[in-house]
Amino acid sequence: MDHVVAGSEAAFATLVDRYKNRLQNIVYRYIRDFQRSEDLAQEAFVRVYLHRERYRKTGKFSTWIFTIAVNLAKNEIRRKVRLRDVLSLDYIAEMLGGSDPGIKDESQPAADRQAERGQTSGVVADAIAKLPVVYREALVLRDIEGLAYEEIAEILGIPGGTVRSRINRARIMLKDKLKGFAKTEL
Amino acid sequence: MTTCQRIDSLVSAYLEHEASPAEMRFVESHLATCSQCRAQISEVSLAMEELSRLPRLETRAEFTEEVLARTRGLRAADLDSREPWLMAPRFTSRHVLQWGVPLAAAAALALALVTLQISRRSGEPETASRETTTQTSNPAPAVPPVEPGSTATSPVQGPVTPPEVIHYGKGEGKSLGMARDSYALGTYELRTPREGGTPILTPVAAKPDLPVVVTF
Repeated sequence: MDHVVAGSEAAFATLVDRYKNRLQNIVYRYIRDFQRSEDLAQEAFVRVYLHRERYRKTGKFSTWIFTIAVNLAKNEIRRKVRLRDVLSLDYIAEMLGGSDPGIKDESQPAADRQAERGQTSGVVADAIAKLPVVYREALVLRDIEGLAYEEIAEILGIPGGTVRSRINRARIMLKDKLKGFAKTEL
Repeated sequence: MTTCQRIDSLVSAYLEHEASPAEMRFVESHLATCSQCRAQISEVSLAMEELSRLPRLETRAEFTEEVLARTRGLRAADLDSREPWLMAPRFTSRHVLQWGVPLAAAAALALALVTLQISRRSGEPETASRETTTQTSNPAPAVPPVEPGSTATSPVQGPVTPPEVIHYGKGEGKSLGMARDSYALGTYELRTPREGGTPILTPVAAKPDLPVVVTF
């Protein structure tokens, strides 16, 4: 990171290579839009570059960049909510139904989408997408990205106890949704 | 809170061995007698396994180079401002399709309605009051007529391309499909990176003759 702060493009490229997949995965699990998740992951790196001199060595770099990515993803959800708010009655129905708007996979390449949906992982991904965002984000950071509870608390800006209870609740909700799907399939 | 509800709140801590020894003993003694809670714990454990098996997305091969191209488009002045929303968004054909087409259709409809309204008004007979106003008003124009090709308000000679105004907002003007806090009110210009590729919307100091103005 010191080289990045000094303006080394090669060092910045290494940084991008190291974190790009994790960043896009996190954003994708929020918004389920492959192309937009790529845009936002790139935007997170641009922000890191813009504010590289602000990086505090006392904190973990991963925490900093994940926080930027999470905030961008949340902004994207809010933007989609605003659009749907005026455009769609389905959105209201979704809200009343308890699932989150702004997470339908509309622009992921059809082949990728089909591949994911054709497997159990597609069912799991759909179930995650149906969780309310406060539970989804905690679950993704813990069970998919494998981050520590303390780091998740820092990224989301909430107390560690709240992170733990949200993750616990999210797992139970996810289990119920998967169970519901299994019953439907049978 | 019933015992089963208390077990619910301890499921994750139990599965991740993060519960205290007393809590672990409490859970285990309850599981020995409650099949419902045993099933609950087992199913949550399976769900966690499924999560860990989710495939990872891979970014496109061009990802890193595209990020570098975007940062090259940023100028020193942008860095000095340190505003988080001073970004260099990309124009892509997808953005045009996603936002341009529906908004162009809406603009065409609005234009058609305005044209219809004007044509209706021009077909109406003048009212008495309008005639009176015309008769009592000063026949000399308040502003002297402007010669074609010149401008009365600007000393600039020759044609000046008006800036393309982009509004961010609901149903007004043209949107880039961008996150609101990513963009400052200001003037931007489209710059193609030296090595080619996607043009970058780059913030510049306010100059009215530059091609793009973003407003909210």
